[in-house]
Amino acid sequence: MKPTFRKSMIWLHTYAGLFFAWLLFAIFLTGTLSYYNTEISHWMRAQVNTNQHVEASANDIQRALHTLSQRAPEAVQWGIDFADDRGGPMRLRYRTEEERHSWTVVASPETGAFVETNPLATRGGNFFRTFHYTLSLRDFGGRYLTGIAAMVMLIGVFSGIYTHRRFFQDFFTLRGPDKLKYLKDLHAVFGVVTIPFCFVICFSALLIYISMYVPFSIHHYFDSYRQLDSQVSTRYSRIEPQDDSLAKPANIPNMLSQLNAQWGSGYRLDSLSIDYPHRENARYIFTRDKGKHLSNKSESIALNYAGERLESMPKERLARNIRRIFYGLHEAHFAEPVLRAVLFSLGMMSSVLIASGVSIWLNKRQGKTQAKKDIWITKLHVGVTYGLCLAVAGYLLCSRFVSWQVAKGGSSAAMHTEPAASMNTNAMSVMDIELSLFLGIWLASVIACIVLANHLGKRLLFLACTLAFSALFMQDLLAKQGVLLALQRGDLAYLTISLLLFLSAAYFAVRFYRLAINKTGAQENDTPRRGNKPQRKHAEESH
Amino acid sequence: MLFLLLLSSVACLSLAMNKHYKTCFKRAISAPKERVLRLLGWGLMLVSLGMALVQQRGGSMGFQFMQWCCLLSVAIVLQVWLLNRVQQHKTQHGHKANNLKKANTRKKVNNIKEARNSKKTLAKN
Repeated sequence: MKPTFRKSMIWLHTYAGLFFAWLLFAIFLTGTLSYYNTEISHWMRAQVNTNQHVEASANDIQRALHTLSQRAPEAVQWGIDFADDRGGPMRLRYRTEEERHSWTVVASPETGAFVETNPLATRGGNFFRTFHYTLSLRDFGGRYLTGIAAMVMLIGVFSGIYTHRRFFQDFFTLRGPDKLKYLKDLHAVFGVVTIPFCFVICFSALLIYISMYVPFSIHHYFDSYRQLDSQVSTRYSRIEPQDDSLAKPANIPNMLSQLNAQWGSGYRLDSLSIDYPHRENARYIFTRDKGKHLSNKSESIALNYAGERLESMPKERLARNIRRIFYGLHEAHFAEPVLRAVLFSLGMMSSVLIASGVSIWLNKRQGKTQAKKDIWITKLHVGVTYGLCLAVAGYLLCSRFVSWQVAKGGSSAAMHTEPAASMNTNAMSVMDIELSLFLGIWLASVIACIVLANHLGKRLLFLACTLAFSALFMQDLLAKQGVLLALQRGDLAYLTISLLLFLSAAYFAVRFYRLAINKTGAQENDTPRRGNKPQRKHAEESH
Repeated sequence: MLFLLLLSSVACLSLAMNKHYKTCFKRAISAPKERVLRLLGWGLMLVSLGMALVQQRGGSMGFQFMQWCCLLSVAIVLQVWLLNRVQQHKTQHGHKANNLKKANTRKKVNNIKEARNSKKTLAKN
């Protein structure tokens, strides 16, 4: 035990931070990337899937229903997920007694019918999303690990307030060329600024998987989580199909006017699901977008085939609502482009906060001792942090390479009508390649940093990152279906990702340049400018 | 709009601190000025919070508050960066360039400063 409370807080902050820093950095960086989940998926697939997305109109719904009735005449449930303005495609799905299936569709330019596309079988932005809470270790306790990391982050945030208690005197300060001072100020500023953000993110992360993290109290009061769930959350009551009846044609315009009467004009249809589409008592459940509500529960309306209101969903309990609000805050489904960019930059700041914490510790140690293990940790630190950035670039490059291969291999017509079976096998292999490439690049850069001298490894990684990101951006700029087409169409989702690529390329180029003009072998005293990234990004957006 | 309000409020608050006032205007802050700036800063922040909560463009109160918090964070970071830039600019270009640049806006201040400088140099010589 330390003599004073503050001393023990400093100790806690230092070692809790150190042990979990790299894990937290990986979680925060990939988590931040998954703010642009849909956009990244769209970006990765856009050069294969060139057709325009469709909006939800009565005509489109009618056609989609027609497609579904041809494809799955025996289904007990059909579903349509409409395209959204973040680049999410339109998807159709059905469920029979035995199986469920879903696929992406586009309106064919000639006939207007919905045809299946096989956009690149990558996981898209979802890869980062799942990685940030499972660490690709879903079956091996990955989610427990991230839960522990979230708790440690909370500890770090609050003990940090005691550790850096002078920050109010030095508020708004970023002191010049001395590296340690600069890092400390950066750490303090980002720390203060992201306190609410980190708190909400970590706390909601714990709440989202609360059933995993507090299993004992659940099992004390309930038999299983399922039972608890049925107590707090509500759903539509089950309906029994009228076996001897036949479906009547759905009156879509009537339904839409019913929706307009309920929701006004400023809503976007999110999905439509139909229970027992072949029976007379078929139930049409329309779900709208979540809009600017914090809760991740979306409003829905149940109608019968003629467009008359059916029994609505009962209200949920308060406890579930609180969890839903935190869930919503974590996912930020409500964020329109500007707010999303702000949240993204806050996420980036917290990643920098975590990485700079370790750098401070290392820099302080450097003054005192030159132990061998410190050099090791320095090398590892560089490898883990910048290696992860490189791995992200590699992951994106992989998708571009595959789409190029696909375009070279088969004509686009063959791709659009590829049968589902071969699509699935194809999907598996691409996903495996992606995963191993991502982890492989990360590991390789860590190893490279350990093997090479410290300044050399850092330089190599910066150079590689610069090259990778600028290759991605240049490819985007030059490709026929790249930035220019997106500009023509006003495809904001695509342009966002391109802009981010450009900014990352510029950022790494600047850092590489700064490192390269330093004399070789000299003590590194480059001023780290990681913080530049979110700020510059924001400056561009606010104009 | 909201962001500009927040940024100006944060700017006022930061300039109310002697340290940053010095870097920007090259002299210590006077007590009444500090009070005015501080009041103005907090006032503007309150106004922006009020604006955020009152305006209900399709968002609930909670949503607006969250948005306000996020914008505040970004405003602070932007202000920190701006101050850093100002400081670097001053140290790089020295007093002369600085005086020339701001001559139009703050002639009086600079005249006093120049007078002081010349006195100093005279004394040194």
